[in-house]
Amino acid sequence: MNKILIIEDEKILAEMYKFKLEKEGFQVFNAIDVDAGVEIAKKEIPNLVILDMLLPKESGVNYLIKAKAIKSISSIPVLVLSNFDDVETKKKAFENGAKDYMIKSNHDPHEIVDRVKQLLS
Amino acid sequence: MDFYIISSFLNGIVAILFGWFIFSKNWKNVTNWTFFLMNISVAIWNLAYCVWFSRTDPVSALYWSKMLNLGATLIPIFYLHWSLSIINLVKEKKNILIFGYLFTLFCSILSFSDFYIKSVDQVGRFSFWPQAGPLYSLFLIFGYYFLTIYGMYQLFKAKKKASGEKSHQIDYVILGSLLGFGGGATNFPFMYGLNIVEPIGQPMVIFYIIIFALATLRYHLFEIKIILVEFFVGIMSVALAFLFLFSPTGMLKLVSGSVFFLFVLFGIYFIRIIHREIAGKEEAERISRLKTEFISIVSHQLRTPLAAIRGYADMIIKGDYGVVPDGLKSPINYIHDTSISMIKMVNNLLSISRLERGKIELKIQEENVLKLICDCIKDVRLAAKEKKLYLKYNKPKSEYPLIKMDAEKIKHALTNILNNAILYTPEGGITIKASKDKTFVTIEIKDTGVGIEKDELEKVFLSFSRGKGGRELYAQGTGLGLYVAKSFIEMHKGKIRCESRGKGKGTTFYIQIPIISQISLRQDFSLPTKKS
Repeated sequence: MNKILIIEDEKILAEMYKFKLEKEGFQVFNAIDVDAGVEIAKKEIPNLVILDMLLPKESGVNYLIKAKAIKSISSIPVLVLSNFDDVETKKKAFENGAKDYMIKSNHDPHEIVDRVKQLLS
Repeated sequence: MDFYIISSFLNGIVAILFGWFIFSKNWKNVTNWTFFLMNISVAIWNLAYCVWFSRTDPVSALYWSKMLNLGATLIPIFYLHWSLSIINLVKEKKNILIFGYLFTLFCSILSFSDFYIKSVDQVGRFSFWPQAGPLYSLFLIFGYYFLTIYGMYQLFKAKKKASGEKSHQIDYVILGSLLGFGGGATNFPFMYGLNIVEPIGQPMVIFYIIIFALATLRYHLFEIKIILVEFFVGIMSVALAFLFLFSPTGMLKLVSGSVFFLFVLFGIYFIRIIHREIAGKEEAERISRLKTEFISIVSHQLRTPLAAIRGYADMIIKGDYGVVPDGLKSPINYIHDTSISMIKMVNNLLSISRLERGKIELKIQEENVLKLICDCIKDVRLAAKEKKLYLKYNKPKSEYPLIKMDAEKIKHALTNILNNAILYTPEGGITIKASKDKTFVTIEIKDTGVGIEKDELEKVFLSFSRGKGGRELYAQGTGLGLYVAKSFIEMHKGKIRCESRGKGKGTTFYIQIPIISQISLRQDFSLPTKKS
């Protein structure tokens, strides 16, 4: 079973994506900030991370930077799921190793699941 | 009285007043206080020059020539500091500034010694022109020429990268610097006994003051237009006060006194009016800035609950929470579709907020415009189908060249126009055509909708503007879509227009995208973090 880590502080969205992904057969873990995300990633070694950009304490970009420096989790693909749609944020995400970038409000959950499957295939 | 005495006296006074006005407006600003210090140095140079020139004995002339050279010694370092502050390079170039200040301090300490100015001699028609000591050459090389040329070099470099008002500011500063320091340089050959050029340093000072005053007035060099008005009123008041004090007869005193009184009165009144106008303008700008920031923050925050509404509705429709009772299917579909409409509106609001702040970013790549049109049609096909409207695309048979553009922005613009056509077409449908000539690819979107009355055609691209037909017939629509579309097309140096034969006769939109891109990129963004 593929493991997915969702780093998202908005509980209502985190629960929604978790429910949808679990229904599609994934094992899902939730984290609400960068540090918690790094800890769970180190412990569970997920197959993919879904990352929000606007998080408490520090930006989602910092997860990408921190994860890059930790050998055990540096190769885990990251799908950024954010409400920021500007080029600069996307650029920062891709420069720091994000594999894909989606705008939350522009996609239904099944489209996000499709993208997750695509990235894992 | 000699021309040199008058010009140096006037220049000294004007330099002090101009410097003081700038300083008093915002003494904490490094550009303002360095300008003030530079002007004080210019004033020392000029006023000491005035006294020196009027001396008749060599001892006194030597003393005042040393004093005027102290002023000249201080000018370059304050000029450099001021120039660097205009182009925001003070921190980056702090080492050169430290060197400049230490070197200037060294020269200033020794400026009254014979190492700096050894004597005064007859040169040309000047009886007591100061003669350079050995240290003075050092000042000329490392102080005068190096510091000023370095400052101008940095200004030239910054000018290449600058645009708009900043670029014009730098133009004026460079011109003023060339005239001021170029003029000043003519004073030096005499100091080495070389009578090769007329020393015009003092009279040239007035040009740098005029040029910086022009820059202040036209390009807000010190962010305050009012300075020049106050400066003018101040100078004129002083001149009129002198006229009053030195009027030889009682009648003249009465006339000049009345003129002085009235001038001061009207001057103060005039300055107050300008202050009020500026305050009003600043307040309007502040409110506009707050409005766009507010829209931006609110729009970002709105996206989260909208994503949840859309997402949960979609999952219910897809049966993730079990079979949906028949009676609930339509309402849930409405929730889902309405949330998507709101998301589109929020996206448009965000685009407008960025447009108004000049923070729209373009991601330029070579794109296939015909494929892009197909993608847009796919996006709106469902909406057209639900209204039972046809959607025809007369795709050209031959392929078009790839065009450099931000595909997302052009897609956003096209989709807005297509959505608009669907929204305002109750029956019939929409036909899309593409054609090209040497310069443009033209996309034509023709609907059989409510049409636009002639007097409203010009207004459709304004923000929050909706046609009368649309207002009468439909509750949806904010009047943002076409404004955003026009802005995005024009950012690509393209054109957009619409035609309609009137109410009930449909509308045709024409979008023209240049085949050879002439886009300039503009980006400005900082990623915030959420406060916990």
